Amino acid sequence: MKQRVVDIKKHISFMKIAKINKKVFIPNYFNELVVLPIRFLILCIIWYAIYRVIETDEINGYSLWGMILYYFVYAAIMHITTYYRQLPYTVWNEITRGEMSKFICRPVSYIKYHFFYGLGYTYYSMLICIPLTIITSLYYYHGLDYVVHVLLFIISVLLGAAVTFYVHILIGFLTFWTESVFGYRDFILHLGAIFSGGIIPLTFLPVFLQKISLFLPFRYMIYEPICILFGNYSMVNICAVIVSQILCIIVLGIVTGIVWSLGIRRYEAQGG
Amino acid sequence: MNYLVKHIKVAIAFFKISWKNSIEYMNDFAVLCVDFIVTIASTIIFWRFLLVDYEKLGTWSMAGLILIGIFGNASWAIGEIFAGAWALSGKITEGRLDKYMCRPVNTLFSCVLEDMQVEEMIKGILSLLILLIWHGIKFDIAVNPADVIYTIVSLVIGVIIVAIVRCLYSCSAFWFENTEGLNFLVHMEDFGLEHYPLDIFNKTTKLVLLSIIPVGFVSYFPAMFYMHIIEKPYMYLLFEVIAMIILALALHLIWKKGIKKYEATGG
Repeated sequence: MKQRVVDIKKHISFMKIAKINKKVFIPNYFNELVVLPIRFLILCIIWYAIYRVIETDEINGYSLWGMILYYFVYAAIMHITTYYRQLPYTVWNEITRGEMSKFICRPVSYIKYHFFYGLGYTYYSMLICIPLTIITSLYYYHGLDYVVHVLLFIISVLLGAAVTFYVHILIGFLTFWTESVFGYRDFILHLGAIFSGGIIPLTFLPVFLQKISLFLPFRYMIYEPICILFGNYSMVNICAVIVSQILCIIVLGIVTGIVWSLGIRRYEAQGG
Repeated sequence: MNYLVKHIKVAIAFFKISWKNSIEYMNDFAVLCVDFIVTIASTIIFWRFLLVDYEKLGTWSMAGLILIGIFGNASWAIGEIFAGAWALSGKITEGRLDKYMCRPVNTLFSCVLEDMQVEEMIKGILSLLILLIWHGIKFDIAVNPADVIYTIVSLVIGVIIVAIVRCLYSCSAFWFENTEGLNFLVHMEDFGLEHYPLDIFNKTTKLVLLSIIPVGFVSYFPAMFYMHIIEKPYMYLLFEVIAMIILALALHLIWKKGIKKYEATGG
């Protein structure tokens, strides 16, 4: 019990360190404040032009505003998980430069460190992105149900962030075997973007691609939280999505643990 | 003349260094090439399923839209030859220009070319060739040699223009300590604007995409030349050359003013 309390305190301190580090670079925070509205403006310009040129009010069930919101919320959630999405580079850097040694020598779990540090890091991003996302998605307001959807959306975003964390740290761990990871990272993430709704909402894809996406972790990172927010799912479906996300996290957590224990045996720090 | 030869030799030396670094990880390079095909596949998926009920986007057929995507993606990869343009603001703020200023080579030239990523450039060129052959077969498009030359020249000019504009934004670091606010403009590929034909936008947006975020030069123009959509291609090419010269002159002036304000803390 005492050990557990110590562990919790340790993890909270990782989050605090991340928050302080993030606070030091306060201009970045203002940069984030500027970038998201600009991205929103660009999305408006692009999609307004497309809808105008093909002279339609709706494409595959998505109105102009619905399409803009979809891509905006997608970008906002990506913004929240920036730290996790940079993990392949971070892990590659720490392995190739031998900086992983400090984690091996200390009573700190490398995986947990990055997870909690990332949570602290995303704190300020969430302060901007979640309210912005909720305000813009008021378009989908339909009474009390909307409030429930927003709450479930926030839970789903957090679960999606955990999935994002595991996918990216696993890519980073490839460095144990490949030494360079960027080609693999880009390949996996670009392929993943097709199945995560990053290229186009999954409902546009043929049924067989949609079915494949169910067995991959990518759609649970961002697409499913967006569908919950937009009220695309019934309450039963939302529960199924959240259960799927939890299952996905458990499976990825086990795989990450195995890959870590196999990979760390190959790790060598020169000099040291 | 000697000055020019010296700079060409320096550029070749940077090329060789970058190439040696690249072949250290050959597997990664091979995966990068496959990744490029996946990126283009994403563009095809986007247009194919978005316009499933519509054959065209304005005057642009599926073949044209995919071609814009191919040029857009390839240009970012080829543009990595000027990868130093990204890191320029960091070098200015951190006072890392000293080593370039001590050398008998143009500071901006060596600063921008030192970080070139040859593997990305080769990936871009190889994949561009493969995809253009695929595109020609798939959509049954015959291209005449003159159009190919126009396309190549246009793509090269486009890549140079983007690098110049990136340098211009980075130069703001001479006056402002922190250039984070302009970083999103330096990383203009994040917006994905290069995937769309310029003529679907209004005049203001077109102007922005040919000046502030000049992605029109790297995807729309080469695609127009390749598809032989325009009647007087040399006029468009002339416009591109003039734009490039004006921007290069602007960069030269701003760099000259900025470098006077440069100071390396510590040194």
